[in-house]
Amino acid sequence: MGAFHAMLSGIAQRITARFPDNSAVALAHYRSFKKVAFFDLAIIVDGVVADREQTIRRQQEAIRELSTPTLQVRERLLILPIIGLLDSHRAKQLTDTLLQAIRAHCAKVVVVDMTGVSTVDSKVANHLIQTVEAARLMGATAIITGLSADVAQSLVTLGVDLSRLNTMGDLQGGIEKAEQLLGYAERNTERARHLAD
Amino acid sequence: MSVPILKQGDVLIASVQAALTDHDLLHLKDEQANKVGYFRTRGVIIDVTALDVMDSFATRTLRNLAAMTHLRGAETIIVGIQPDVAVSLVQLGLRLEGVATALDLEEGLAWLAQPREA
Repeated sequence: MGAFHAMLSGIAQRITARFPDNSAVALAHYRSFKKVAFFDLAIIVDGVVADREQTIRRQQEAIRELSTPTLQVRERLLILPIIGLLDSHRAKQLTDTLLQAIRAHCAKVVVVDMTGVSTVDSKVANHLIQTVEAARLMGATAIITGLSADVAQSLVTLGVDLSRLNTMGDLQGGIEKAEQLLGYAERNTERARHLAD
Repeated sequence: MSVPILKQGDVLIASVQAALTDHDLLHLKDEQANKVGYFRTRGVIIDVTALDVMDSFATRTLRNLAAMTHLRGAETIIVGIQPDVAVSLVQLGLRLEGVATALDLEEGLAWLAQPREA
């Protein structure tokens, strides 16, 4: 910008030098030149801004895709780990991802792991309940796991009715419960006991 | 357009093919109620895979249908609710309480085949 300004003033000096006795003509020349120069400048700025916006959009898209993966751990059992801040936009996207994944994988149980979520407000909590209900309408059971002490406390303080939710302490508990629902025998705990001996 | 009701063993399958008017829904309810008694049906499956819109009236009618079928000694399961429909139903506060749901027809049949305490 500074260089551009310096160039313009240099040109203005030269124009006034060429028309020393007729400043009105010099001014007219300078004006028409300035119009072209600013037009150029506008095109450059537009290009830079558009390029930057495109980069930002691409990165946002990438973040969005990264933020809600769905993992299939067993036949008909999905895990949905949520990490980071849950805002209402992301919560909506979570619902969409979850429901599409249920359809795509014919899932019967979905474990939503919220270990990586540090705060939940009432709006997001409501959305979570709606997601669980929608999953039920599609014939799948949703289990919420890993609600941290802070989140649990704030939800109870907010007075959000979470009695309809199926919650477990940690991801392991959630998966064990899901296996129970899917009818897997509890052989893992047997083996764990055996290994511990 | 009326909904065809198919009989498969002791299960009745109502397969909804297109968007239904309120009149069609009521007709479905009446017909289902009659057939459940007539065929001594054990289970009723309502397949809504083809529906991309479900309003409050449809939801209420289906819930009534399920309650009615229960009174006549059979169980009802609604299968194939699309993701978008599920979201909009929940957002409208229509939770289909007391009605079983499953992902698709196969799931529904498997659910009805499970033995369960009365």
